[in-house]
Amino acid sequence: MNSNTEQTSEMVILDNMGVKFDLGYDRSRYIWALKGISFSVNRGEIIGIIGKNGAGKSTLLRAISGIISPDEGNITIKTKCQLLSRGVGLRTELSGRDNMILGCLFLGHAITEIKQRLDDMIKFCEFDNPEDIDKPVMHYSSGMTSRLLFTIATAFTPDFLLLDELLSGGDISFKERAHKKMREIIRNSNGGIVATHDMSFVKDFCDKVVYLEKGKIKFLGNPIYGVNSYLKDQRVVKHNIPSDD
Amino acid sequence: MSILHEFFVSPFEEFYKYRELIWYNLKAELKRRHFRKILGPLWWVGEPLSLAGIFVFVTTFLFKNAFGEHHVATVIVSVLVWHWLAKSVTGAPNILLGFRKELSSTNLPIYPLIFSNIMTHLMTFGFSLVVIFITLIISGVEFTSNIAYLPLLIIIQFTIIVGTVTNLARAGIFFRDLSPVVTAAMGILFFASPIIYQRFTIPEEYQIWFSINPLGTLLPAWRDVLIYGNSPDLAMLGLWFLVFLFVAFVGFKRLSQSRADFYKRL
Repeated sequence: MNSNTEQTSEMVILDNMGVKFDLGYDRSRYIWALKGISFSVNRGEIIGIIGKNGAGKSTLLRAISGIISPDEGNITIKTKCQLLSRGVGLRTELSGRDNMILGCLFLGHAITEIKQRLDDMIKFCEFDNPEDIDKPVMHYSSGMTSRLLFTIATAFTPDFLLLDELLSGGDISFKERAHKKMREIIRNSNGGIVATHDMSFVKDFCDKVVYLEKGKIKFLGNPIYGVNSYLKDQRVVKHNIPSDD
Repeated sequence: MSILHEFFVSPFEEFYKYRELIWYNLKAELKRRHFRKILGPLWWVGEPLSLAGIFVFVTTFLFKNAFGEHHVATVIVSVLVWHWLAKSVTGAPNILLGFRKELSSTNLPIYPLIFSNIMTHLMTFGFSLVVIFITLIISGVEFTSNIAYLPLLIIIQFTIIVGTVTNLARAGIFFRDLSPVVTAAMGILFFASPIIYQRFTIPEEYQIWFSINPLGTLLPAWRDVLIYGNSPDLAMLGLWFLVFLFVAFVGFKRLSQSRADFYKRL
């Protein structure tokens, strides 16, 4: 967990926030992707967002980052936050190096900073053959693509983190390094919100958990209890997770 | 923010702020275009040249030298100038859709994506311009002082492209059917504009069309300046410039206003 928890000023406040999506061109037909979402994040806190695919985790992060505007309620942001996701599209005809530069530019970083960090980024990817970084991405394996995407997304540490499913993909050794990198980013940030399916990450790193189901908060609070509740719903309760009674 | 600032300053500020992204994205797009092609970057001029070659053949043998003395040069100038406009406009509805992932997962503003696309086409037109001048020299065209109007024509055509592209790029997100509609419309516009024929060869009752079609003024202006050594119709060019400056303003404004709605449509 983050060590800055002694400061409790609220960095992000969501007040009865909701986002709806139109169904086709008819604006009278819509579904609420998020509804009645209220919680706050204090300085130094890490909040885990869990839930099934389609529960609204990614939409929630996009609403907080300002990519999507809420249709009801309010979002108050008192910090500079940035969404780190694997969504920076790779140009498969371009090399890994070109994609690193372009991806970081898309994330809003300056070219001088990117060039300074490029060697470290290439090193972090740890491709078996170092020359692969200059080959077109279309020749990469899925593991290499995952490494590249993770490296681009985590090249810089923003003030306040919004992380979307960054830990999926990659082989075991890379996952370990990715976890280490995540710890480093969290340590250097002022807090953040992490959407993930990785329950051990939630238990180990998060101060609170928000369990979303069909766009609504089903559980908000202690990560152990939140994960337990989620896994119970998924009918995969494990022996090493304490029950909430 | 005043309207004047939003119109005249803000787009240039955005351009400067994101110049590195625009430049690298432009380079990436050019690289992507000639990836695994044997002739590589030669296709930047090869494509419009082959198109011009077809029309030189058709107009020479079927239309019997519709442009007179500098027929070949006239067709090449017209087709390459048209090609710049057509390529920019037909791709416009898909510009933002092509950045679906970035727009749905980063706070990336819209302007650099539009700018880099427009600049890519401007740069390839730069190569076409070299071909145009080589053709003019080989054809024995005598340049006059009116060639000084060339930058003006580039600016006016650029403004027409910016105005059209900004509006179509936004609309392309909300109406996915737009791309084939625009492609068909450009096909019609090609034959409804004086590209492979002279405007004065069209009967009087249809001339009104050329007055409400910006290409009815712009294409003859290119030929006047580059081939015939005449002064272009500055009044009409100025009018179209102002019209499309306004259209571009509306396009930029609507793009920034609807940024937060894009995710729901992507």
